[in-house]
Amino acid sequence: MKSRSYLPYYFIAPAAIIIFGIALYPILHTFYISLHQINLKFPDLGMSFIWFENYIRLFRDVRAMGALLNTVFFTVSTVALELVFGMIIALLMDRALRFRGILRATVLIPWAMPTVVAAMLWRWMYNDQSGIINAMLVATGITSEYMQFLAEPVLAWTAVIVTEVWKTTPFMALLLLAGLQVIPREVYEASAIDGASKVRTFFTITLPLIRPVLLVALLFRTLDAFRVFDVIFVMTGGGPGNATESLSLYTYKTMFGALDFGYGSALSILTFACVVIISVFYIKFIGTKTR
Amino acid sequence: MKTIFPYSFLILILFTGCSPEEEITTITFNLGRDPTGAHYAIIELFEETYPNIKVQVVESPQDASLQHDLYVTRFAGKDNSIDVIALDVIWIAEFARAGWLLPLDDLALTLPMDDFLPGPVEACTYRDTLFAIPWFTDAGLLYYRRDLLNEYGFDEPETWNDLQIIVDTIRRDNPQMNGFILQAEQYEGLICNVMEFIWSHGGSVWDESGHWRTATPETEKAIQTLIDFIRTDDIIPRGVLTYQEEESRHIFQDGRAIFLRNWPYVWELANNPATGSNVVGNVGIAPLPGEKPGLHAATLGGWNLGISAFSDHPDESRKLIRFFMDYHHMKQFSLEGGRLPTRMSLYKDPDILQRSPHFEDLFEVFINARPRPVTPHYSQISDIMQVNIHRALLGRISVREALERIDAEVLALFERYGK
Repeated sequence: MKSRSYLPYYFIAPAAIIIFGIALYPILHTFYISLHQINLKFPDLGMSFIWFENYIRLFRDVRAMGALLNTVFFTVSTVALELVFGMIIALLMDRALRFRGILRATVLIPWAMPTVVAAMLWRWMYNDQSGIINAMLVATGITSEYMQFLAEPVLAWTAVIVTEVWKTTPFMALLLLAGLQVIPREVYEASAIDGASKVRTFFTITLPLIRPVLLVALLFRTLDAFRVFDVIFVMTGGGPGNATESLSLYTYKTMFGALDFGYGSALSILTFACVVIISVFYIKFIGTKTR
Repeated sequence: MKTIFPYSFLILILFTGCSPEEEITTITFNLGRDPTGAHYAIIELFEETYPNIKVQVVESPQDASLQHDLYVTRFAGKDNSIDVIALDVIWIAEFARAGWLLPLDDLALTLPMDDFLPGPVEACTYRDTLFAIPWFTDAGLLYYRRDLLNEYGFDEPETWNDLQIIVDTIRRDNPQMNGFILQAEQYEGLICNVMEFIWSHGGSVWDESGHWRTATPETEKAIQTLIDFIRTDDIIPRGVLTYQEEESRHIFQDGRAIFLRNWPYVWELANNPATGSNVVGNVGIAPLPGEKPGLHAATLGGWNLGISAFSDHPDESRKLIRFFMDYHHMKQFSLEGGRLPTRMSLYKDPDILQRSPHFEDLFEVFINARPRPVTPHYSQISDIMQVNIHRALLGRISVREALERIDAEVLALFERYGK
């Protein structure tokens, strides 16, 4: 006896199963493992249930907390810079009438390049003896001698952030450009007639109208930046003196270097929790304000 | 697929009554990508000698850390598709402790183990059992500019102090030259370099009774020497904190450094004009200096052949390893690939010496090369040491503090999982 009211459930069942299988189940399983002491290097020690001991260890682990702070710092600084530069580029591209296609394709090049390749490229450009950045700085008289960019924590951070911003600003710019292009031109004309300044127009018309797109772009970039691994792995390996180690890099070292899957899973869950908090923040506090 | 193949043959044999010799077994040979490709010729020879065994070569990335992570994932899943595997010296204790490698003491009985270099054999031994056979070796060396040292009338530096005097003298006339270049980025290579400083100052990470302890006066002095070279004496440029092997090799072969610490592969590249080297014919090699004369030290590298505990074909795998270790096959491998053999008698072989005359001088280095701490915890210990020593090199913490932190973290590790 099949009741008609069950019918919709049959239709959503495949999607629900897939979402459960590829998104929810792995997270639940990781959480389950994180409640155990398990190191694949010592199969004879087995897997023992230890409640939240891995989480207690995590909050006492100076290195994990340092990695968390590093990741937050990296995320905030790169996303803020990408937003500013992405917006400028998008506004310029929105204005440009000629060569629009070529312009957009050119801007996309850094984004199209695999991150590992780009990071390797920048690593050599920052080289302290033969890097082009040092050559340019000295030639223009900005610095008097070659600098060891990746050997000083502050400079290494700057170097990594510059690389990431260079790499991902095009993505931001392109999303914002899409937002800008759907704004009807009449609105701008009306504000021009009313005598609004360019700045005023930007803040009262452009910004509110691209808010949904802005939210999506920021959400994507924040989540992506928070999981940063490749740029740092290639450029500094977490150095100098572990100053640039991100949460993902530490998790990777714990999982695949040390094979400490219990603790590594706890670190993954920490990353997951942060990502959830970021998403909720964006959707709740920024999303709902759009009237 | 690979397991069905032999069975289908078995069925064929049952029905046709053929002799069982015709059954063909395929084994896999897993190794990191080897640009020389010299192993293929040996494998061809092996397949001719043993027509019943086919060898399938499975290459993984050249980067050793990536290989490690790849193998670990496969072993943890009890993957039976690995038979023979090429192992970095630092993995063996770890993999043996996990139960992923077959003990090879029986195979060793059929080989002249006395002829193998002692360092690699030590690295292949865990709890008095041999888990791999050394295939080719590597060790840290000092490269120097023979032309410059001759011009200023210097011999090879015997001590770190000699090296400092040579650098100071030559740099007085050539201030743009780098003195001594090594690898001190936060990565595995840093530990290779640091161990050489520690050993060459008479230090060690284990005390006499085999307990872990780095906070000793010798080790402290060793690392302080390295830091002074970088931070105050201007012997080593600060950029080394970001260098791996290739960055340092380029500076040396461009002619911008007097001394370089690196692995043996640099010799052929620095002496080959096709690589753009500016120092062809002007390169000398020597053991690394010590705190006192004669206190040389070299960190052991190199690759070894072992058999996966999950292999379905341990006997065929033993045959392949045995074949690679044969004097003539190892010789052929070395002649073609320029690799450093692990059998000592090959360092006296006229053909080998004709191809690589520098091996004769290097023999002293190789026979004295020492493995990094042989323990299943090595990869974690290396990580702990990298972080703390790099902090000390940056001047963020004192050497004493770095060593005490290393000891505390390593002991916590032993406590959690047992030594």
